[in-house]
Amino acid sequence: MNDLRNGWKNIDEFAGIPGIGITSVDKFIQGRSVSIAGKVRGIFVRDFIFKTLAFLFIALNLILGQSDSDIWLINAILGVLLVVFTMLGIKFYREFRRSADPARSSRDNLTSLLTFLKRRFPYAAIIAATTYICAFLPVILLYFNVAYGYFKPFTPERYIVFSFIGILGTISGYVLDMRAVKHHIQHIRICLSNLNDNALALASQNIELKRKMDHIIIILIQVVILLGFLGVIVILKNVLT
Amino acid sequence: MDQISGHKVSFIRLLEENRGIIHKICMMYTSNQADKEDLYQEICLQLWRSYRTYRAESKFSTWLYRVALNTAISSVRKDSRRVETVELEHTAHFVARDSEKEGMTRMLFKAVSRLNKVDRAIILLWLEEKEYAEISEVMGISQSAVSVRLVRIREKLKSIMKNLEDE
Repeated sequence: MNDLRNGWKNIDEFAGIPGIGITSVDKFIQGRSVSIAGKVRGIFVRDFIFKTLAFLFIALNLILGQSDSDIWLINAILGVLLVVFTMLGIKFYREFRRSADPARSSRDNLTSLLTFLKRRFPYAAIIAATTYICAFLPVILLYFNVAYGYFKPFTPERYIVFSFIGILGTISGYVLDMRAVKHHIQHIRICLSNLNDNALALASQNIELKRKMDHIIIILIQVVILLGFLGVIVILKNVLT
Repeated sequence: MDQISGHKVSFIRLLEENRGIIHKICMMYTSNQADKEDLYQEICLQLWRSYRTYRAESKFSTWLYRVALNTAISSVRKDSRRVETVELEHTAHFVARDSEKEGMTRMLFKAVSRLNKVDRAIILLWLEEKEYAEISEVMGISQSAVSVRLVRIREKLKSIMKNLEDE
């Protein structure tokens, strides 16, 4: 072991390191992340970009579809839903930032990251997945408005096809995000079990505690999503038939 | 000079002062130059983000080791299917080239690179001659646990070394 320590002292610690200046600080701020926290942050950032685009499409529909009160109402409801989802998305992102603080001890850092990914991320992923349908519907409406100058009624077949695409996109988004995080959860679990035999048990206790506290917010999210989309479907059906 | 630029300048000074240890951490957790640069960049980014909220409640070195090691432990390779081992003896550059000693040390580093990520963090802090109290503060385990872990790591290294000699 002492040989190892002596060898460690003999390592040329500056080999291959570039100098650091203000420009390189800007460079690494813009660089791609290799850490779990960075990858999860990427999922949130991607969702916020999609949400911004969805807001843009909704705003265009609201401006262009002023003469059609039904289309205007559908977009207004989608807009309100998107505002609620964005607020929830920001809430989850703030929780994630607190959980992913690397300035704590390794055990605390890994435990809080694991608790977030196991207990909170699935709901954050649902919120992110709904962005797809909130963007897809306004895009379709905008397309018809631009292509035909008015909203072309759907045939029942088209109605089924578009609903299918919307639902498939939402489910795929959710599944892909969850799959990406599954690997990270496994990685953290291994590190925690390597760190301390008790650390994993402690993390499990925290997760269970958080699960109980989550019930109210889960029910609220489900009610908002269900009511919102039911409203949109009812209006859409009235417009199209 | 505005406040942000002043903040950046003081951060860069601290990075310059500590880049040797960041480099050693990167060396301990990566197997090639590209991965090393990625991890180096990631650690700097996390240090920059955390630096804005650094309140000097713990020693600066403890804070730096926490952020850097937590980032290294939770780093994931771009190709996650690749096996999570590194060949430290290939990435380390030695100042003096004493062939016999260097050979032995390279062998020891090869053994270290086969340890899990958490054990690598503990042995790195020990190599940096940190006291048990500081290792315990960085890792979040008790001082007695640190002592037990170091004994276990030593045993693991002996066993890996024996296997390497047999190969």
